[in-house]
Amino acid sequence: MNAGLTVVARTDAAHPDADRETILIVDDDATNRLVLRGLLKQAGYHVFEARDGAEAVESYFQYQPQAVLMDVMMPVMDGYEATRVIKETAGSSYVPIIFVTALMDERSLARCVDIGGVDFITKPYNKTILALRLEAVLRMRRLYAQLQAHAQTIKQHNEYMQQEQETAERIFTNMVHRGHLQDACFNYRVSPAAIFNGDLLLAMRMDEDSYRVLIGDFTGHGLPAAVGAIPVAETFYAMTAKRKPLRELAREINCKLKSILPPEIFLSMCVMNVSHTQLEIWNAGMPDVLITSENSPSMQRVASQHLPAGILPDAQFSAQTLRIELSAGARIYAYSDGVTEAMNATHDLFGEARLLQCLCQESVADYVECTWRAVAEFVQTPREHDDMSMIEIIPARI
Amino acid sequence: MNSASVTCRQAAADCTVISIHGSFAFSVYRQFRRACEGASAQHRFVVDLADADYMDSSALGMLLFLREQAGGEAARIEIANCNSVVRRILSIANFDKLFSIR
Repeated sequence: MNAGLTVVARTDAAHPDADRETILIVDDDATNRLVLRGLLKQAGYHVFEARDGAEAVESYFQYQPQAVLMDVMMPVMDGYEATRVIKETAGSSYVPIIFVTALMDERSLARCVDIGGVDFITKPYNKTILALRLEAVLRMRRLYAQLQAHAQTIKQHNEYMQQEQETAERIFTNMVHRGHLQDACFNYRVSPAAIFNGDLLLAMRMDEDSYRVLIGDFTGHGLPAAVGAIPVAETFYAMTAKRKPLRELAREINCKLKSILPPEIFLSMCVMNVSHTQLEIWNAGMPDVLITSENSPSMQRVASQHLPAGILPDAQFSAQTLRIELSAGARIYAYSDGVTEAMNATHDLFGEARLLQCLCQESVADYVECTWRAVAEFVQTPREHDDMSMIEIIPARI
Repeated sequence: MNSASVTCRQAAADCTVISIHGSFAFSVYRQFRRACEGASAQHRFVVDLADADYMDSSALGMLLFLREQAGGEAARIEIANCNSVVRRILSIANFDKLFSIR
């Protein structure tokens, strides 16, 4: 807008200073125009003139002045109509139009304001007062322009950041969320907000009859929580491909995170090796992992037994894993605390009891989907940071 | 979310009590960090959670930050007056291995 104005002023006008403000005088009386022109020139403004409303509209869009001094009664098109047309065409941009009128009755003056004039001055006018009021109007316009420029800058920054974040998320997803999660032995869900907020879900086939799975949850939200996921994922895939034992993976991840993360950031995680008949598990700070079996209504739990990864120095670290025999129809459930801590409008938490209800229903094909629906129903209006991850492992399908 | 705050008082020459009111979560991060200023291994800390109705994983992070400031291994930090919700969160994270919880 400003750039455009500068160009117009420089080419169409007799080379006025770029930072001098431009005023459009609209009056059908040549003497009035002459007086006003003299006054404004003296005050340092650059001046254009129009002889009626129609010319005013044309000049307005040609020269884009910073203010208009508008007479009311003119041939061809009067000041009201010219103002209406300018306002309509200018849209949201701020157009300071000051009516200079001989009409004194209240109705006429009210109409000046109604139609969108910012001020009115009655003729005959006092030169000093006119100059002061014009300056006040221009000051307001400058403020408005500044505000608009700031808003524009902020908008651009926002768009830029959004774009950056989207790209980063794509790269992140490619690095972290690959592997074999799509295989038939898994049902899983990770809420979109969780991916970039430090929830981790990784799975990789170890050999013919077993998989390795990692579910994890970094402290806090956003980028700081998310960056740590990258070395964890790299370590997971590399060590699983080499079939390194589970305890070595846990130790390596702990060691790596301890060396790179600040003290207040850590990773609650659970790593598992799963085959048809056996689960080997190391749960460090994740909610109880649940195991259901076909022939028994009771549920087996594997509680967290270790401090989360990234807290203890290697010397004090315990990578003691648990081995659990699995019955024929066993299913294993692991989730991040975002599921049980999903909150509704009255600040109640979804809680473990509701989760267990979901898992106890009979003949459900996908218990994760079922839980997700129950959480959505419970929460009603989802909040911005719904970090939830959950996986169902069906050993019989390995 | 209800508003939360951190208050800090000197219980003895070598003991500071940090009290959390409301939700012990990321919103009190700055206040908590300020309360940790001047921590050292010579100093004892009590984190009083009598007024804390909830804590999330960033609160666990803040406790670890305090531990680091107060000398890491040598830190003497007690987490006091936990309600059942808070106690459960601390126990899932096995924080009893790092702090004395009562």
